[in-house]
Amino acid sequence: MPPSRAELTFAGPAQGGCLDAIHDLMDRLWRADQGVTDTDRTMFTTAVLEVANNIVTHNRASSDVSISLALTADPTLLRAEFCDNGSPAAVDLETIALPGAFAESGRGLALARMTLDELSYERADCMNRWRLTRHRSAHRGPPHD
Amino acid sequence: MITFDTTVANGAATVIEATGRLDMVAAPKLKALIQSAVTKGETPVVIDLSGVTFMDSTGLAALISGLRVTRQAGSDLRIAGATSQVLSVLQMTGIDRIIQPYANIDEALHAA
Repeated sequence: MPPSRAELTFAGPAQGGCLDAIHDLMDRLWRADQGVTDTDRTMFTTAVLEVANNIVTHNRASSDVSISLALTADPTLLRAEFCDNGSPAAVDLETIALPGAFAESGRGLALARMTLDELSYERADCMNRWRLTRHRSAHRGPPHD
Repeated sequence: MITFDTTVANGAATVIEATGRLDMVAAPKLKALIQSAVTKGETPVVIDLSGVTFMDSTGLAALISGLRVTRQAGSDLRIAGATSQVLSVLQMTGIDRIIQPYANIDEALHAA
């Protein structure tokens, strides 16, 4: 059974090393949520790490960017919220799509969008905020087209 | 974290065994290992993914880059033993149609 509610947080520099910390945080989430299905775990973990990659890559030239992540698992939803103080992200999530088969970049956010029910980005108060939501498999509607 | 163990099989093919997370930190290392095998002429290159617990889009891009450099050298890149998360990423992105996943190293080595 999923927990009534589990919340975990991380904060640190937006550099490559934070990815291991985020993986560790995801592992802690799944240990606290023994009822999660393999599909939900795989899809949500993939989405969270793809957005984290995007933030780290986007801010690679800056050493003073901080990132925070809040993970929430409740009986029906899996949620993640990233905040960072890096430069604005020039993305249009409505039009993002997989590139050609032999492209060697450009799949990260498309993959995140495919594995989530909701992915949003906003810039406010000099902060970037990404919100990720996946409905658990038992609470999903019919498949999207 | 990831480790790579490289061996030359049958006197020619290179087998790269990856263990851990194939992510943006690991991807440049894998690309360099594939390029090294191609430079030495030790091809085809087979990537053993049975120990990869997680692969992201940058890890996937390293495989596509490897496919490109091996084909440019007249050879091929093959993958074997993909775990469920890796297979999901390959299938969602359609890359399983250009890099066929083999069940194990033996199958990949003996593929035509």
